[in-house]
Parts: sequence; structure tokens; C-alpha cells
Amino acid sequence: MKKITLLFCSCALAVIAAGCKMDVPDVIDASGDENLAGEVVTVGDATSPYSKLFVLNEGKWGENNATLDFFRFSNGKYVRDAFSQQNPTIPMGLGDTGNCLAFYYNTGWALMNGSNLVEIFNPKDEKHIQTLSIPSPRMIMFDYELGYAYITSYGDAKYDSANPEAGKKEGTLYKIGQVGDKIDIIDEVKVGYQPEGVAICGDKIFVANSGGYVAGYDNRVTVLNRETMDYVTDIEVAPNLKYVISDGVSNLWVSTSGDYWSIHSGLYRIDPLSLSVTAPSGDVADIRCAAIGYDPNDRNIYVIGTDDEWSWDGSKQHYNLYKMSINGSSVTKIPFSVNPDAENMKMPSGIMRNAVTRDLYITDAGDYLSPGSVYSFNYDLTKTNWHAEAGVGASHPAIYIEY
Amino acid sequence: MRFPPFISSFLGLFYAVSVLAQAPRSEPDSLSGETLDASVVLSGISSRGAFSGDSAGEAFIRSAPSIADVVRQFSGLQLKDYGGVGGMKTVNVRSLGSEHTGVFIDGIPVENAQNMQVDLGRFSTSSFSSVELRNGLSSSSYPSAREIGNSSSLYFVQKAPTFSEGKNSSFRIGVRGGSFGTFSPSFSWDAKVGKNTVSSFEAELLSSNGHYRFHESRFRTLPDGKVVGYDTTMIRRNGDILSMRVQEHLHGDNCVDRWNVTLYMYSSDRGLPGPVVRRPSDSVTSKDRQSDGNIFLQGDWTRDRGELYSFDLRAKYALDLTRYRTNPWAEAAALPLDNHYTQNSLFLSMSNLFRLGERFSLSQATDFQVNHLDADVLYFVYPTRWSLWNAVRGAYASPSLDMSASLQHMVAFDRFSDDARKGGFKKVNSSRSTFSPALDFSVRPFGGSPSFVIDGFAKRSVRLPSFNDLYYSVVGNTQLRPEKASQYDAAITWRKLPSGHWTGEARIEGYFNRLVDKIVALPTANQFRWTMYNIGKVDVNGAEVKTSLAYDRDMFREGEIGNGFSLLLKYTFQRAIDRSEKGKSTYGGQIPYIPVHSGTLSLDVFIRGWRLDVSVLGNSRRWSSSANREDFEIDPYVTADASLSKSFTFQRGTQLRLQLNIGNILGEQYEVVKGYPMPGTNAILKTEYCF
Repeated sequence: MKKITLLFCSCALAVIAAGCKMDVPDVIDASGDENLAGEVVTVGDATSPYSKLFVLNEGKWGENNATLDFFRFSNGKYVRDAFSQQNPTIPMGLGDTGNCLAFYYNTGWALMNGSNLVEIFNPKDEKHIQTLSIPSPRMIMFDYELGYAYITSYGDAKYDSANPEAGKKEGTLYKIGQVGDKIDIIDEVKVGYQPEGVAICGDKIFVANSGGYVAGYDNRVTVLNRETMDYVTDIEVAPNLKYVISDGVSNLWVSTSGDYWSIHSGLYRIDPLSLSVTAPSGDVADIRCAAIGYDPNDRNIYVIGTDDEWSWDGSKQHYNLYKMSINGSSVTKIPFSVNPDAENMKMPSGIMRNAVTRDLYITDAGDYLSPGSVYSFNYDLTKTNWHAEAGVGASHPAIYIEY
Repeated sequence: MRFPPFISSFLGLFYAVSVLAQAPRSEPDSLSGETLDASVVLSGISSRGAFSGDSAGEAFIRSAPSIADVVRQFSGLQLKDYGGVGGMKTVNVRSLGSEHTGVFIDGIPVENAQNMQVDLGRFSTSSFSSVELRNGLSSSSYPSAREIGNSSSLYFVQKAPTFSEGKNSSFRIGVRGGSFGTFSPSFSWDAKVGKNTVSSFEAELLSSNGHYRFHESRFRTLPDGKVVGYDTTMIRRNGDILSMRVQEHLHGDNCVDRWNVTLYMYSSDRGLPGPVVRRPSDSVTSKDRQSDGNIFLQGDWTRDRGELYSFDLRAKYALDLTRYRTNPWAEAAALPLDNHYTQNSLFLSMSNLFRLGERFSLSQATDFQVNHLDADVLYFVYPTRWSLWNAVRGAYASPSLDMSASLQHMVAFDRFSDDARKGGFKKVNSSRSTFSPALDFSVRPFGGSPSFVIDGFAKRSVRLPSFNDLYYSVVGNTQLRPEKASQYDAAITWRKLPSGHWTGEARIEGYFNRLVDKIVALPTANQFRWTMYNIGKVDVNGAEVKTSLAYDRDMFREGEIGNGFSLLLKYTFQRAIDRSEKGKSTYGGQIPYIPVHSGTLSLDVFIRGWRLDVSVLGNSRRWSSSANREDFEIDPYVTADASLSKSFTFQRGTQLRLQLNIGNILGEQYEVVKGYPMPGTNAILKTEYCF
């Protein structure tokens, strides 16, 4: 097992530890996916510590066309729609509207928002292991120390929209763990309305709530006790919260997508002890967030955003890559215009960093209706290493390390 | 329509009129049993000339299980069907999008400013004597200004009751039921209420649980040649509907004046089953529901003394209520939602016709309309639209040539509440103004004989952005321009004139359409926020071939029950190419949901009061994206439907009619819209008693 601590997902924070309470299937026979048809997009690197770069393509809502692609580092081959090919007998394939992809040792977890389930698969051969029935799952985070997964869900929102003052706007956080010989839900707790990102920092769990559907934006981060899941408090931050990024110890950030007309997207800092909020200032205030990733190896948050995010006239958008240290002390801004391939992207939707080569993998979701693509750039975007056509709504890149 | 003979001959030169006068307006005696349905045999071809489009007459409409089943057989028309009794059914003509097709009842538009789509599921087969699709010129001699600028129009003509001698009223009670738990009783009462006025009252209840079985399957071949896959059977749920329709229609005609007044009331509550996607076995399907209430009152009055000047006045008021709600108590994944939409619209139109000598005529029309949409959704802007259309049309008609040229001007002014920048846009009240010219011709080169006709048209038309496109919370874009369509069409028709027992015809038509500024939803700079843009461009190269053959043993024999058959074959080729953005994988691809090849074959046989209709409809593969990759492909399909009916006439003129409709006889599993499977074989039995 390679001692590389890289778990960097737009929707998961990795806290690396030795303990592991959820049984990881010990798959020795990982045959099958070598023969899948694919496209050689670059020269393979057999010495790479990584096994594959996976891309979860969201698909179009209601069309059940989410797909799982992978790039294999050893042979430089990009394989599309691997899950359906490796599981031809599963009715309706991977499902509808993939919203998040992350790995827990030798298990891959794909959150299928429109299918109301979580697909747990073997990333060695993309074969189905089991599913979890969770209504409208959004994002996942693993507690590697205690061996649990946490999944936010829009579900179970019984808010009475006809009587907005009466009900509390709610969503759910599910706690997942080993139950018998299966992985199952072991606890659930009410959080804010339309919860998105979730992260652990110290002895607390932080959930960002977005709201926005019917009843106006939520602006709260729900704070829970990490051991008991008990509600601690709500912190009011900014409307339409999205990602929570933490180094697990002392640094905690929450992003807002803004309200699209009066409040910009950006990053807010939360003190995990005092729970006080610091509004963005200085260079941090310039950061606009469309996609976010965190690499615990170099302790940087990678953010993609555009300065002109309130332009609705269909004119060409000029994106930037912001690299911010987890303590907020330094911000570097690289415009996509340094590389025509990057500049031509329509909708950069996900970012993942390779800690060994320092390369950046950026997905382009395009118009979310036709096939998107995935690009590999060097660390400052100036060079394109390779690119491949992906599926519809290409959005969630995640690196898998074989254990 | 009974024009005085002098006017008839006058107008006969004006081919649009002759179509109206002879094909759809034929009034079969409802008590004399089945008659040869001229407009089925002669679809797209009138006795004088020919037109681009298609039509269906009363007998054919009555044999069909629904209006959607009538129009889906029209050439060049794609029915977008979400499946089941309650599933929405809209039409898309020649790949221009359903918003471009105007739907008219007795010449008055059915309005939906909210999304510009008219659900044909609301209409009943028992109300209409003809349905006609027109791509080129309007079929009316008094077209409203709106009609003149439409890219294509679907005309519904309501029945005007007729009575056998000595009777002043007649009643019909009917019930139909069968598959999908369908139960639908209906009642109608026709009466003479004045010297020249008839009244027709109709009420219908429809209830259906909407359940049907379908299966999803996919097989793939492994590298070692083994075929693996799945084939799973499911039941469509939450597709139930309960609806009620009540309407009163007054029709008057005294040879100079003709008037229609209709009051229509419809109310329904239905489940929206949503797309079929992968779900865990313990998960419920969608529990979303929609309730509708639609009321309209419309009237038109035509005065025609056969002199230099005649006119048509039309007016309509419509109230449309929609409630859409989710049920998070029954479906954990649903977000709470309960929205109410109220649309009010008022339409006024005057159209004037000047006959300038034997060969020339000039018409002028002005339409005015107000639409208002009220809703209880967040950040709503309560839009009101005032629209004014003005059109002129000049026509020339001689035995061997008909020509007309028209120009329509439209100005639409939108006003909405602009407090703050709700939803993100800078709100500016806006107006949109467009010109739509059209030119068409019809040539009968062989001494004016309608046995060989060359016809064609060129036309530019627009469709306004809908209220949803412009103002839907957080998604709408108030800066949108109208979509613009250009159409060029030419056709050759050969026809064997009705002599003896046989009639036959063939028509070959080619067209080119270009759609620019197509309104498309796309994500903005922020991927969580979508909006509408005018970026789409579509080129359509199309061809249609229609042939028909009919035999009637009793043709021209007065009072006889028809004995014969008709055979109709239609083929449509449509290459609808996405030309939106060069360099994208969608560029050059066939646009979503349009088959390159489609066609229908229908056979009607009628013998001694029995009538059998069999129709076969085929569509080649389609794609759900303009990127024509295999993973977006929707399978080709062939469906066959049959209807068998028999009328029994008793003493004192009472009549019993039995009809059996069997849908999808081949049990084809297919989808028109991705994720919305269509039902397999189904049967509906209908009984009607007239007295």
C-alpha cells in the first residue's frame, strides 16, 4: 500500500488514519476491465502510484444517463461508460444524475441524486458491490478514523411551503457504517435545508446548507457532535452554501455560490473552536467558486471561478484557477487564458490534483446536454498533457489508489 | 358552410376557401351510418388544388381513441407523447418545435403564454368534425392576423349538429372503458334553438388509474461473443387522471351571417409519473401531481353578402389555472412544492375581405391580445403581455394559377413588476417587433385541371419567447429575442379525379426550413444557475410522399351506406441538422427526437355499417441529444393500431354504435420521449346510443 495521503474530491474531505471500521471487500481477482475498449490519450506511466482517475458524468436529469469513466495511469487509456459495461445485468445501469464520487480504500461510492441511491462499486474492476437507498443524496465524506461515511441528502424535507413560517426547512445527514455483513445506514439527523457539503474538523461535523428551491436560500452551517451526531448549533454564514473544506484539525472553510445577483460566490472562514465566521477579505475576497477541490498533500484549496459571474448575456466567460493555502495566507490566481485549451472550456465543473506530478485534472461539463470532456494540465495550466471526451455533464474527477 | 351559389363560384377560385367549403365542412348525417370520409382519402389535397399539410375528417376522428392518435398520423408532424392517458401530448411540425405550431378551434387560437405548448390530451374526439394541419397558407378565407404569420397551424373545427326531418333535438349517451382502468361516460344534447341556430351541449368524465406494464431492456455483446444484459418488467404508476369536460356550442347560419359561440370548461387532476430511472427497490416513484382548470368563452361572427366587402369578428376570453405539487410525505426525495399558476387572456380579432373583381381579393386583419400570468412562486414578476398583429394579404386566382402574398407585423409589449432585481436580472419592460412575409402559389398547368398541381410557399415566421423562457424564477432571461423560422416548400400533386368508384392520388413535397435564434437552456458562468439563450440554429431538409387509393361502391348514390375501402401511405424524410455551434460534438447532428425516416400506412374498410381502420406507424431511430452518439440513441419503433366499429339503426331513427380500439397490437415497447415508456397492447370499448 502506497503511503500517499491523497484524497481530494470536490465533495469529500479526507482525514487519513489507520483505523477502518467498515469492511473493505478484499478483491484479489480484479479481472475484466483490461479488455474494455478505450482511447489511448497519453503515454502510460507504469510507475505512477495511482491506479486510475475516475470521472463521474452526471448525465441529464431524468434521462438515466450518468456514466462512470476512468483513465488508467499505467497504459494511458481512457475508458468511457465502464460501469454499465462491467455490470451489463444491472437494470438501468449506473442511474440518474450522479452528484458525487469518492473512494474509501477499495470501494468507490457514487452518489446518484436522481436515482435516490448510492452505488458502492469495486474501483479495481468497476463491478457492483451493493447499493444504499438514500433519497436525493448530495455529497459524501468519510471519517477514516472512526470508519464511517456521512452523506448529505435533500430528502425527508417535510417543510410546508404553503405555510412558510410554520415549518422548519430541513434536510438530512445520514451516517453510514458496517451493519452485519453489509454497509448500511446507522443513523440520520436533521440538518438545514438542502444540505450540500459536509466535513469533520476536530470533534465536530459541519454541514453546509444551500436552500433555494421554493423557500429561499439557507445560509446556515449546521454543527453536529462527531461522536454522538447530536446537534450543537447553527452558524449563519451567507446564502446558498455549497462546499465545506477542512484539514480536519484547525482550518475550516465554507463556500457560497452566491445568490446570483447581489452576493458573490466566495469562501468564508469558520473558526472550528469559537465557531465565529470571517467574511472573505484581501485576496480571498477575489475568489469566485464554481468548482472546488482540496489536496491535503500540499494543503491547498484549488478553486475555479469567473470574475464576471453575473453576466447572463451568453458572452464568453473567462475562468480563473485560484490556489489558496488552507490557512488562507496565500492566494495565487492563474487565468485560464494562459492556455487555449483551458480558455475554450465551457463549464469547468470539477478539479482534482495529482500530488506526484502536480498535474491538474479539470472536467468540462459543456452544456450538460452533450458530451463533456476531461483535461490534464500541468500545475500552472500552461501545458495540456492530454484530454479525452467524457460523458454528459462530466463533473466529478477522483483519483483512486489501489490498496 | 353554405355560400350563396354566386359567391361560391366566386370564391371557388380562391383555393383556400374551396378547401374549407368542401372538405372539412361536409356535414355527414349522423344518423345515416358511415359515409366515405372524403378528407381522409384526400388528405392534403382539396378538389381545387393542393396544400401543404394534412387533414382528417369526422369519421376518422370518431374511430380514433384520442385526438393525439388522429394527429400523430399527419405527415411531417411529430407527436411528443409522455405516455398514458394523462401524459402530455404536444405536436412538433417539421422540426420547428412545438411552440411554433398554432392550435386553433374554429379559427380562434388556444393560448398558453406560459410555455407556448398546447396539450392535445384536453380535447375529445367527439367534439370535432375535422382536424387540419396547414404548413403554408391558412385554410380560412378570413384568417386572423396571427394565423397569417404562423409557421404551421392545426385547425380544429367543431361539429355543427344536423337533424333528420321532423326532429328538433337529439341525444347521445356513451361510455367507453378498458385498459388503464379507463372509464369514461359522456352525454350530448343537440337541439334546434331558433330558425337558423343549433345548440350542442356535451359533457364527459374521464377516469383512469393509468397503470400499465412496460419493460426496460438492454443487451450488449461481450468481446468473447457472449450476449448479456437485462430485461426487467415494471408497472407505470402515478399516471392516474380524473377529468371533466363540459361545453356548449351555439352555431348559427342564415346564408349571410354565420356565428359560433363556445363555452368550454375543463378540470382535471392527474399524477405525474416522471421519467423512468434506476431506483432502489424500496423507493417509491414520483408522487407529483398536477391539477388544471381551463375555461374559455369564444365567439365569431362572419358576415358575407357576397359583395365587395365582408368580414369576420372573433373574441375569446380564457382562464387557465394550474396547480403543481409534490408530496414529500409520501416520497422522501421530493422537495416540498405547491405552486399555483393563473393565466388570463383576452383575444380580439377582426378580419376584412375585399373582393376586387373576379380574380383579385385583398384581406386585412388586426388581432389584439392580452395575457397575464400570476403565480405564487418565489421571485415571480407577474408578467403581462400586450400583443398586436396586423396583416394584409393579396390573392390572385385564375383557373390555372392561384397566388397570394401576405405580410404580418407583430408587436408585443411585456410589462412586469420590477421591484429589485428579482432572480438576478436587471428587469426592463421590453417590446418585440417582427415582420413575417409569406408568398405562396398553386399552378394547374393543364387547362386548370386539378388533376395535376404544382404548389409551394416561402414564409418567414416567429414565435415569441414564452413567459417561462423570459421570467421563470432564476432561470428566465428577459433579453430573449423571438425565434425565427424560414420555410421554403414545393410540391407536385397528381390526382385521379373521382369518377366511377375509384379515386387515387400522389403527392411529392420537398422543403427546407431554417430556424435561428432558437431558445435553448444552458448553464451560466455559474454551473448551478441555468438560463435561456438565443443560440440555437437548425436547418431542416425534408421530403414528404403521400399516396392514396380509395374505392367506394356506392359513390354518388344518394342515401346509401358506404361500402368500400381506402388505403393511405405516407412517408416523411427529415434531416434536421443542429447548426448551433461549430466545433461542438452536437454540430451537424440530427436534433433531438426527430426521426430521419417516418411513415404511416393506414387502411380503412367499410362494409354495411361496419368500419375497420388499421394504421401502422413507424419511426426510425432518434437521439436525445444533437450529439448523435450511440448512448443517446432512442430505438426505432413500429406500432399498429386497429379500430372496429358497427352502427345499428333501429326504428324511429335511434342508433347504437359499438367501437373497439386496440392500441399497439404488436405490443411494441417504445419511447417517444426518453424515460417515458409507452403502453403495450391496450383495448378500449366504446358504446354510443343516439336517440
